Amino acid sequence: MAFSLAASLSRQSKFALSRHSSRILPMTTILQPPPRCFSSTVVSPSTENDDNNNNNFDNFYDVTIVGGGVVGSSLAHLINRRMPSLKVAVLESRECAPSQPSIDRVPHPRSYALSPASLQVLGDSVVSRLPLGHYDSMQVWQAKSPSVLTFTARDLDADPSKATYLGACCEDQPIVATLWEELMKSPSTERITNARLKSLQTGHPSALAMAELEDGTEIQTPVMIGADGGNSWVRKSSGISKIGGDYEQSALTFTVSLRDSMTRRAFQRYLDDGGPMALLPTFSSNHAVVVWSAIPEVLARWKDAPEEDFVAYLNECLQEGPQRVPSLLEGTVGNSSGSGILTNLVYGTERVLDTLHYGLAMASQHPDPTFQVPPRIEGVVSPKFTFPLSCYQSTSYTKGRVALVGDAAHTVHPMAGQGLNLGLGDVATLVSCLEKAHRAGMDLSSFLHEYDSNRHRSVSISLGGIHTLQRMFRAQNVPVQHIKTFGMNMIQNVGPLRRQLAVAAAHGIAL
Amino acid sequence: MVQSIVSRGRPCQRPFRRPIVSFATLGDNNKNWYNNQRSSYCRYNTATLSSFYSSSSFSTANASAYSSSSSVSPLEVNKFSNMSQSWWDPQQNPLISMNAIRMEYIQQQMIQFKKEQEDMEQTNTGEDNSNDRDDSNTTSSFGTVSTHSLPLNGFKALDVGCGGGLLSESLARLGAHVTAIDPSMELVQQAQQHARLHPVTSTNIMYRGGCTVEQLAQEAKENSFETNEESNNHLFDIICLLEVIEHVTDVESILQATESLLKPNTGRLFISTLNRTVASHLVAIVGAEYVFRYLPPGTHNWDQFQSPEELHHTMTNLSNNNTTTTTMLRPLHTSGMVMTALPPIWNWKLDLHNTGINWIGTYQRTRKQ
Ligand SMILES: Cc1cc2nc3c(=O)[nH]c(=O)nc-3n(C[C@H](O)[C@H](O)[C@H](O)COP(=O)(O)OP(=O)(O)OC[C@H]3O[C@@H](n4cnc5c(N)ncnc54)[C@H](O)[C@@H]3O)c2cc1C
Repeated sequence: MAFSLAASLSRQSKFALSRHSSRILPMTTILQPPPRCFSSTVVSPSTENDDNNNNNFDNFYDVTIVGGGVVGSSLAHLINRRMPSLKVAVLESRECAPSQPSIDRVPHPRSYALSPASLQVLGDSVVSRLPLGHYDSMQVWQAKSPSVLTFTARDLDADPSKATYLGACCEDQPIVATLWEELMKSPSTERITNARLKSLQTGHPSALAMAELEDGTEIQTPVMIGADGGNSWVRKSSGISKIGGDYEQSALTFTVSLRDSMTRRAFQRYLDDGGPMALLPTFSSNHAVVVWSAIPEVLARWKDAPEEDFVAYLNECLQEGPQRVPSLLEGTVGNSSGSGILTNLVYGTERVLDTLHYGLAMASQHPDPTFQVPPRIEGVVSPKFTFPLSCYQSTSYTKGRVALVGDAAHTVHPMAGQGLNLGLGDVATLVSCLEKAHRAGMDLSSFLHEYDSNRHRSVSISLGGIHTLQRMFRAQNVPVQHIKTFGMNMIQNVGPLRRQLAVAAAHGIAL
Repeated sequence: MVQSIVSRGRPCQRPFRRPIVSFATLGDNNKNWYNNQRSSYCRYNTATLSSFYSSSSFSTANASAYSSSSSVSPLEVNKFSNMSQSWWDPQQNPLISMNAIRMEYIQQQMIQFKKEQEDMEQTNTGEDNSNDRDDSNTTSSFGTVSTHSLPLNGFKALDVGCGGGLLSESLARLGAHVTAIDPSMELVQQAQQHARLHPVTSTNIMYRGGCTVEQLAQEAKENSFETNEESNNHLFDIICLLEVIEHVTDVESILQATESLLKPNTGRLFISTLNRTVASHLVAIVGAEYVFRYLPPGTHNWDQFQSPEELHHTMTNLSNNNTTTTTMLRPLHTSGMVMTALPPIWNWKLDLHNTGINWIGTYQRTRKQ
């Protein structure tokens, strides 16, 4: 509808120019304040502009971002704050700008655990308006193991006065809506909804990247960003392939009401059948979001189970404290030759190292490792969402003048809560590479290859770590159980190491 | 004249205003290029540079000037022309990463200079010696942002040995009106093509291929002689001789020409080159050209490298031997440029104390003592 209206407009006036804001309006709808849609500001055609010179900068943007989801709009917002003179276009396929959720809602289960570094990327003007559920510590424990890991804000920063919290949870919708509101205030940012992209040229040092919309508009840009999610059209159109695989697990998320309120602590427990179950704070103190990963059969069993049974099961899982490890002799280790022991030792050492490296994707050392029982769940108060877990990563994050960020570049298991932290880490790195070129007055694509090499490496490590951790916690046999415990205890007790790991985790990168 | 046809310095209401002047109008005037360009740099936004240069009379003039110039070695010109394909590829041209800190240095120096000027103006409010700077908000007004926030706004800059236009584009995007010259025609053609990729660089750079700084100085001299003009308007606020002097045969000639184009006292000349040390030989020649092959072998000749002191010495000699001028070049500041990371991420930083390999300096044209 809006699309065809816009298309017919574009025939009359190829590019409508609003004099006041000097905005160029391609035929797609330009947004007025949300939640109104389709309110196209149409201005008279430009006459002065039509000399027949082919060097036309009417549809030129310094940075063009395809996808205005949480990562794409964070990127636009950060560019705006750091380089306000740049003209930025955000092309979003959704029909209207995201709107704020109602105030008296139950927290939505699609929530992110944001590290302080991620909150910094979003910026104070956005964060101050977000409904956040802060937490100062995160408690990680597992079935059949006596150890408990507790990470605190102090693990992030050696200076205790600076370390105020470990992280904060927030729903997807208010983050995106607030970011879009901020973008609307910026005169140099064009937010284009209902964008239908047809073709793309990645460009090279001597040719701009180009995106063609279905109505024929050709957008020219020195830097084109693919922020269009896991099924990225930009990635595919640029001919960048992805590698990785699906876990045999899915995640189930929903909101629960609590009998007692949350006490600024997030909880994550590895269940006996492998999957981690997390209880995360929300802006409402007597609600929490549960993110539970497990094999699809298990989730299917519970998805439609009677609520009473389900709540009872959840409480059973989360209320159970640390346990004794089953005896080693019952297991399969060390029952044959010396070389078997050696193998196990090598294997064990490897696992411990893995744990040391990645176990902490979630947290850190604290003088108070005492177990705290999570608040009791009273009921499930939202629909349950299931989504498959996958671990894909693009083989390269850049091609020509195209760069990928967020889920377009990599999808991860949300167990470690790193999905968005990694995406916002991309944003921070990419913006510094753009800034380096911008400060020197250079072609903005000059340092994109640095984004690729910096980011591709650190995300690979993170993904590898999450993958390993995932496999490890799913292992059923006893020796691995021991090794896990050993690893976790080591992490708990080796201070500096924990701190380093926590810092890495908080910044969305592994070591 | 062109001036009467085009509107001068009209503030740009809309971003990316296109040139209005046709090729035919320019054709009549292009013989006296210097005269035209000096009257107002604002005109850059009204002339399509590509069509400007494609006029035949211009290129013939270039060709003859090139053969008579003294400081340029034809071999060097060929060497760089052959590199023109990879010029804009950040993974192939190490100058791209180096350019970021060259620009940092130039901006530092110019910002400090602006500050000194302002302080001076405050203390002696009588005379205003910056009136030849064109501060109008013209073509470089990009989007909704005024050029006044740009660090090099209003400066007239000359990029000597512009190559593929790397530095020229930087200077232009940061607000300067740039004249860019290079003895190589191929490279300048490439530079012009690349400059068309951006609204600011496509209007604020005047490129001239097959042109040496000596030739430009000669034209300027003849011109000011003809018009008997005293003012400094045709001279430059910023002249860049970056990564150039290690490739020329006659440094004195190039310095002399450059000096004559620089505004006395207020103008700033930037020179960067490689120092003549064991380290520079190892890094720039053995390492970069032969071991790691970042640069084609033969890119550099160590004997043409110079230390800051050697260059200063050359300038002093020049001033002593040349009795016809009343001015001389004086060093103001020097800094080293140090590579901090190896490819694929070239990374550089400024380091005041380490001028052993790459260095950059600021010079001023002053009255002889
Ligand atoms: C149901 C669900 C629940 C999740 N829960 C969690 C969780 O609890 N914790 C966690 O850490 N992570 C979670 N994730 C993952 C997390 O949402 C992603 O990591 C995050 O959204 C990535 O943001 P993004 O901006 O890269 O992509 P997206 O949020 O997917 O945004 C992509 C945007 O691009 C737009 N778009 C797509 N194609 C085009 C196109 N061709 N042209 C123009 N625009 C286009 C889309 O409309 C969308 O707005 C969840 C994901 C889903 C789907």
